[in-house]
Amino acid sequence: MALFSAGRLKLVFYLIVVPLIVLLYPALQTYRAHSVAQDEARILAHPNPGVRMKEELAMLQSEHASLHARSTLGPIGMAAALSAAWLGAAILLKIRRNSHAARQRLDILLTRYELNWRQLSRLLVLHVALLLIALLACVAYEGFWAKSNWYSHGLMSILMTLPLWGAIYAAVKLLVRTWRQLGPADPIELTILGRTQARAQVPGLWAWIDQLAMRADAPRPDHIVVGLTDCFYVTSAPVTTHPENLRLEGRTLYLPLPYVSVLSREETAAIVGHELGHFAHNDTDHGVHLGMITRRMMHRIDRLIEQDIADDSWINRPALWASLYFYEAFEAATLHWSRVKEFAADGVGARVAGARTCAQSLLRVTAIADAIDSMQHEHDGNPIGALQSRLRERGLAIATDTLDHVIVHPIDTHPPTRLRIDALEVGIDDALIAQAQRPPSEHDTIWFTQMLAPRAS
Amino acid sequence: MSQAVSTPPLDSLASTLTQDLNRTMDAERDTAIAELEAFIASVPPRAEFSDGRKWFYRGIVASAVLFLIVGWAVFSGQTAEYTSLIWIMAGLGLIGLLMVWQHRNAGKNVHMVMTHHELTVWNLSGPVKLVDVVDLDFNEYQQTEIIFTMQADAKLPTAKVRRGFYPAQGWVKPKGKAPRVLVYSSGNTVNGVKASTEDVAAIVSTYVDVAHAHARLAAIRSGAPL
Repeated sequence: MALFSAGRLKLVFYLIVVPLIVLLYPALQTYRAHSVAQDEARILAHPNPGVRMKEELAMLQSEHASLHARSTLGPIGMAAALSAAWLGAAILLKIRRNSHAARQRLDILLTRYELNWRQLSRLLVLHVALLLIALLACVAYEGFWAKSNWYSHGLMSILMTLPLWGAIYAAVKLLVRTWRQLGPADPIELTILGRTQARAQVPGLWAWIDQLAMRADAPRPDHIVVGLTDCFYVTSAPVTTHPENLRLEGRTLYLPLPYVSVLSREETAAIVGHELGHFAHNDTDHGVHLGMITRRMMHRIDRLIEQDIADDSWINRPALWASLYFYEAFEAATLHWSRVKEFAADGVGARVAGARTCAQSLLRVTAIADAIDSMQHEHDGNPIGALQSRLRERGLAIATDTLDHVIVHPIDTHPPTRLRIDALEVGIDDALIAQAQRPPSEHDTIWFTQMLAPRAS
Repeated sequence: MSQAVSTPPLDSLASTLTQDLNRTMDAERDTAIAELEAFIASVPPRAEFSDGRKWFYRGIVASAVLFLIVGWAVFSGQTAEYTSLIWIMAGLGLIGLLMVWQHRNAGKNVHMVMTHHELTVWNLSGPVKLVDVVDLDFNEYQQTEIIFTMQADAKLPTAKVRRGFYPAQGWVKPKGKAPRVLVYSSGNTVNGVKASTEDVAAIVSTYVDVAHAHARLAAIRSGAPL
C-alpha cells in the first residue's frame, strides 16, 4: 500500500508538478518581455526625454521584431506547460476512473481496458509534446534575446538553456520511438511436460470427465494431459506437450498424477468440476485475452524503459510512471476478477461433488502441494510411490499457513484456501480437517488406475 | 474389477512420466552446464586495470596556461593591480604541477586485477572473493568509481588509503546497509588498452558473473536443483 502511495505521489509529481515547475521559466520570460515593453512605453510617455533615454528608445525600437517574438513565445511556453499540467491531472483522473470501472464490471476490463490504454498512450504522447513545446519556446525566447543583446553577454542566455537541451533531445527521441509501430506481441502458448490421454486410449477417464462436465453444465475439454509437475488447471491457450511435441488447440484439462493418486474420486471430481467451471464461465478464454493485453502493455512499457535507459532524463518519467501506474491498476482489476472467478468455479465444484467434499478437496490439495514441495528433491525413482509412502508414514499437516496457501497455477492467482472454504459456507471443523489429512486409502490410490484401464467402466 | 488392474496402468503412466521428467531434467542440466562452461571459457583468466593519463595531461595544460598568464602579467608590469589574483593563479599552477608529478606513472602501473574468482587492488590487504559480490554500481565523477556491494558475511580486506589528487586505489566500507569495496581510478586502461567507463562496467560485470558461474556450475555438478 505504501509503495502504491509512493507511486501515486511520483505520478502526481511528474504529471502535474513538473509541468508547473517548467511553467516558471516561460512565466519569467513573459515578465521580462513585458518589462521591456513597459520601459519603451515609459520613455515614450516622458515629456522631456534625455539623451540616454533617447538612445535607449532607439535601441528598444530597433528590436521590435525580436520583442514581438519574445512576447509571443513566453505565453506559448506558459500555455504549453499549463496545458501539460492540466492534461496530467486529466490523465490521473482517467486512470482512476478506468481502473474503478474495470473493477466494477468484467466486460469493461475485457473490452474497454485496452482501448483506454491506447487512449492513455496517446494522451501521454501529447503530455510529452506539450512539455517539449514549452521547452522549445523557452530556448527560442533566449535565442531571440541573445540576438538582440549579443553585444552585452547575449551568449550567456543561450548557455543558460543548455540544461534544457538534453531534455529536448530526450523528448524528441521519446516521441519518435513512441510513434513507431510496435511489433505484434507473441501469442500465449503453453508447454506442458505430460502425456495426452486420447479418448480411444482411456475411454473410462473420458466418460467420467464427460459425466462431470454434464453435472457442471460446462463444455467438455478437447484434450486431457496427465503430468507430474503442476497442479490441476485448464486452459484455452494452444498447448505443446513435451516430450511428444503434440500441439493441442482448444480446451485442455491438466491432471496431475501425484495428486490424483492420493485424492479420492469424489475429491478429484470436485476439483475437476471447479476446473470445468472455468470453461463454463469462459474464464480460460478471458485469461488468454487478458494475457495478450498484458503482453502488449508490457511491450510498450519495455520500450519506455529502454528509452529511459538510453537517454536518462526527467522528461521520460511522466509517460513511464503513468504507464506503470495504469498497468498496476489493470493487474489489480485482473486479480480482483480472478478471485471472483475462482469463487464462482468453486461453486461449480460444489455442485458437482457437494460443498463439503469441495472444501475437503481444497484443504487436501493445498496440504499435498506443501508435501510435494518439501520432498521435491528427495526421490530418485517413482515420485508417485514416494508420495504415497510419505503420506502413509507421516500423513498430511494442515496448519494455519496451509489455510492461507495460494495454489500455484501457471496462468492466474487463486484466493487463499480459507476464504474459498468460507465462501462455500462450510465450517472448518475437526472432522473436515481429519478427513482432508487422512493417509491415502486403497480406494484413493486405485480408482485412477481403474480410470486409466482401457476398458474401465 | 481389481483383476483388471493386474498390470496397473497408473504405474505404467507414472513410470513413463517419471522417465520423461528425468530426461527433461537431465537435458536441462546438460544445457545449463554447457552454457556455463561456454561462458566461463569465453572469459580470459585475468584482466589488469590501470588508470589513464588524463590528470597528467590536464595538469600540464592547466599549469602551462596559469604560468603563462602569471608570466605575462609579471613581464607586462601589471602585477600591482592584480597581485592577489596572480598569487592565486601561481598557487593553482603549482598544484597542477603536483598533480602532474603524482600522475607521472599513470597508466603504467596496474592498480586492480580481476581473475575468475578474485579481485585484487594494490592497496588492499588481501583479495576480495567475487562470488561474494551481490551488486555492482559504476559512477563517473572526477574519477571512475566502481562499487562492489558484498554479502553481509563476506570476508573483507583492509585498505591502506593513499592521500593525493585522485589516486587509483581501493576503499573498504564494512559498515552501512551492506559492506562495500570501492575502487577509484582516473581514466581506464584494461590490459593495456584504453577503455571507456561502459567498457570497464561490462568487463567488471563479466568477471563477477563468471565467479558466480563457477559457483553455479559446482553446485549443479554436485546435484543442486536447477
